[in-house]
Amino acid sequence: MSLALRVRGLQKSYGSHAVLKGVDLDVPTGVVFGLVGPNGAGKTTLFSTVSGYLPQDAGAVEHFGVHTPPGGAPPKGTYSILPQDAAFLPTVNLGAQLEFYGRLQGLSAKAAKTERARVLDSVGLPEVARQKPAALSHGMQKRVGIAQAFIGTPRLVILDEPTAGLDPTAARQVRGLIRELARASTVLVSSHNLSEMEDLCSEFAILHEGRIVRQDNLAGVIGGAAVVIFRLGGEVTEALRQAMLALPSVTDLDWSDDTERLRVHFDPEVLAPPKAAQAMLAVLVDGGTPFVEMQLGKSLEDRFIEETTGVDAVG
Amino acid sequence: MLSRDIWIIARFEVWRHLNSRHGVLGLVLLVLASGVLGYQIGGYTEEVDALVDQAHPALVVGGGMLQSMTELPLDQLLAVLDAHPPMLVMLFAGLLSMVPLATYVFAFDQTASEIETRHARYLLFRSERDAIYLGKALGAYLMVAGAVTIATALLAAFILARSGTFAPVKDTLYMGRAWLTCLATAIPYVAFLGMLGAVVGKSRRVLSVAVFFWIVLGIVGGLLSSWRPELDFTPYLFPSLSRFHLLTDSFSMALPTLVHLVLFSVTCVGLGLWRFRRRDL
Repeated sequence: MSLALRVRGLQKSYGSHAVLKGVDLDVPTGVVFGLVGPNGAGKTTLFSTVSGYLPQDAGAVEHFGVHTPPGGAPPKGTYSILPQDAAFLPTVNLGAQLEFYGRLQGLSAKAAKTERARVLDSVGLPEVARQKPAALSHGMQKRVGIAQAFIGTPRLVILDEPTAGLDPTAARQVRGLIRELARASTVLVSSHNLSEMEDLCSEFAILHEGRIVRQDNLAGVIGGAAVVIFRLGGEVTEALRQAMLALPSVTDLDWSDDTERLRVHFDPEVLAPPKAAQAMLAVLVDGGTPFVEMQLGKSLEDRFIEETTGVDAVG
Repeated sequence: MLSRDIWIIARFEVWRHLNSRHGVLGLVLLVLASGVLGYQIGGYTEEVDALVDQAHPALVVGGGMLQSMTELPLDQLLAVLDAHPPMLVMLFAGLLSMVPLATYVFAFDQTASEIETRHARYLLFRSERDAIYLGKALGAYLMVAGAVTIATALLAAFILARSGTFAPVKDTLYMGRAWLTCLATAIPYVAFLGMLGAVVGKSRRVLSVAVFFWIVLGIVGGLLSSWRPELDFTPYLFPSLSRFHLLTDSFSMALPTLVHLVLFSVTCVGLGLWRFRRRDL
């Protein structure tokens, strides 16, 4: 498996406060990779360290197999990032700034101009090239920020909370944009919106208290498909319980009054997950039990809460 | 790649300053001030020449004061005034005095606002830290050089044009030397301000610290020189050490100043780069 980013034993402290405590992370090429973690877990510090903003105290970073020294720039043109808190120059129009970035990535003046037009078109804002940042809304600035990250089609792009602070419509546009742009680049993205991450990403890592506590593909992170979770329109009757347990694949079930969810555990060796879910659904329909939602496996949010708090989120 | 990036960053810096309102305003003010001043004082060239001739004995009497102002031995000062038109010597000295101010105005913010606003984060993954630091410094220096060039050219042009005793080749060459000297003396100031930017990381604070340092050094220097003059090390900590020695035609007199200028610049660039390479951005 070729890696876009390989991080080993990364440590970073601010004074006596250790933020990264030995992070190991492998981001394969050609995927949209999600990094999730609670506030203060160290996501932005991790991105800042691999981008050369913050020289690490210890550990190694490789971009596409090339070692990057602490505080050093990744190999030219291979890497880009949408930093969470960087600002464009207030007195210079955005088109000129994007061309400047293109030139620094090694493009000729003509190619940089072409790239500027291409990336602004791709985020649906060709008209802002002659405008200064202050003339743009927060959402538009974010889209220009994403545009700058895709100048020169870098092989790895990091997007640090690209939809933070955006209204739902703008957030949806940005997600569409990321999907579109991810066809040509490996994308590493962080967000607090876990359903959005589940929707966008095929692989995940959970960062908690400065360490990666889990890294896997979506099925692995959400705990495989050995459980089906139903949100019911009423309480679980004894008849329903018995009918479920009578299914050959079902091994256990439990009901939570707090979340109003019924979790049915099954053995995927006995029956494949889609078939097992179909059989459970049939029991509900036959018994006339109203339900509003069905979920095969745990959600990313459930797994995230379990990994970071130790509490079973749907229990 | 490093030199290409340095040049791209420097050119962008100059371009963005010249395209900003304050850049255009500064340029207009500089042209107006230099033009008006040059025109005004240009009319007095011959009077000043005559006055200096008449005041020669008085200059000898007041030599101590002049010597302390210019740090230049009186015989050297008189030799300079004899060798070149006094008005041009005064212009040369005036330009040398103006360089620190021009540098403080045009070059105080090199990397500081990049660090403060975190705009540097759009550059850091595209170029090396050294290229960003040196590119910003070169851009700031080119701005100062442009200001010095405009001021020197306008002032000299008016003075020479309005002077009846203008020696075309000799006086133009002398003004060319004045221009090159001013460009050289701007380098350690740019290096000093660049180093402060990398250390302080906030643009307005850089200016405050630079001015504060200048004042404190003057006070400490004054106290030390009145107490134990041999212990006064403060002139070596600022780029303007014996700058008026550069007025003389004696290379051996100017050499220690030039050496200090080079050493001070190299030290500041070295320390600034060292800090910029290691700091969190």
